[in-house]
Amino acid sequence: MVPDPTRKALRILSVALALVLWQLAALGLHNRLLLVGPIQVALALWRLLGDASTWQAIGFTFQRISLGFLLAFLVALALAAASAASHTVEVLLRPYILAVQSVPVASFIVIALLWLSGEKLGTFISFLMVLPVLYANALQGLKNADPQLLEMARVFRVPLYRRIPGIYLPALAPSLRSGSRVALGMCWKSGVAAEVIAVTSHSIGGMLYDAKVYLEIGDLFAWTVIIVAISACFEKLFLFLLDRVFRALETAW
Amino acid sequence: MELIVSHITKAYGEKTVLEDVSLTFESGGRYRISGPSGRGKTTLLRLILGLEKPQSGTVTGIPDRKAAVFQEDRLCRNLTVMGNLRMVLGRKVPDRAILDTLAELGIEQAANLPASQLSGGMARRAALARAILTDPELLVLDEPFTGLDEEATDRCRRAILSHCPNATLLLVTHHPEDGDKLGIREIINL
Repeated sequence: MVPDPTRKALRILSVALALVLWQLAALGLHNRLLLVGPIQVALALWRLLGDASTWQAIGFTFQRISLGFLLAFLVALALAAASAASHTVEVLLRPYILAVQSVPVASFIVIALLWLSGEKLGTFISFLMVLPVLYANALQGLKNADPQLLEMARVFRVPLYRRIPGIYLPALAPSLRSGSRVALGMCWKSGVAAEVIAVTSHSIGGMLYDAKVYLEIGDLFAWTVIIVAISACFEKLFLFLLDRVFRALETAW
Repeated sequence: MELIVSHITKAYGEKTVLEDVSLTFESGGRYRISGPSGRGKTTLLRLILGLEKPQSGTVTGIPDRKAAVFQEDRLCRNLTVMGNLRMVLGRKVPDRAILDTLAELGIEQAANLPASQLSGGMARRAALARAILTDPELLVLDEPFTGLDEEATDRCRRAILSHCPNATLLLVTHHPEDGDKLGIREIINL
């Protein structure tokens, strides 16, 4: 097992090496239309962060994608609870969930564009893409509830609302947490992809599209860095809040 | 109302655990169910509690208010002892009554400890407190004193008698003296 400080040092070394290789490749290629180095990207990022329209685009996209994720989270929980309570519901839902999982995101985006405005598309696509992941994880968590505790609750006729903190939440928390982690990354990727395809104005996807059209490769990379950073921050914030909510609910009794 | 087990047969796969068993338990009666391991004592209790369905036969007269101490403690590990009791009791039993019962059982200091931090003996007594505080009409005890020393076992027996004087009591134990000290005269051999 690699000790923690060594692991951290190795990680920094790995990132530094990637940056050096990237810079060398950019210098070697010497074509700003194909590849720019990390220094140019950092400069583009600095310039973008000083621009009010960047923050406006971040706010716009963040609002829509996080709304899509939160809606999917609530719907997935409700559907998983219904499926856990009734096998018939689970079987009825299975084809829909499989269909959403198997259809390529691009197909959904193009079809949804016929019905929805670009503004709503990001919310809809991120909702649709993460729903199966969150549903599957929530259902798995609920199915993992300790059968001995469920029997105990049956004998003592414990009402459902009192079973939740002691029996269902401890089973649900780990799998919902890991599902949320995967889903948070997915919702940003698919949401921004939808914005790019729909050329949604004043959004991150729209900015990414503009950067591509005007061959602003530095901006293209800088926007990618922004997306990764926001996605990581949102993931950390959401998981922190999720842990707090679970703890509060579990200790409510 | 009598609790009647009528011509029950229960099998798990090829193995028949109970075959054509018929028993009658009088309301408020106290019974010790005895027999060698594997003869279906726990299965009989599970059938009475409605946790298993028999292949044939019926169980009638099961009261609404039933409680059990299972072979396992079956406490929610993330909740405190108080949390575990509140989960079953709701808000209808005051804190004072719960703490008094825990004191009777010698575990009042564990009231706010998470179940995951309890010793085996404490967890056993917490499981018993949960059962007797529900004021059950039927109290099912499956090896309730496992892992308890003589003093703790004595406290538990006294608490059962003082909290559930009128309950129908079904006890499975490998120690006949536990039954004797609970005033059990009826012994059912399986």
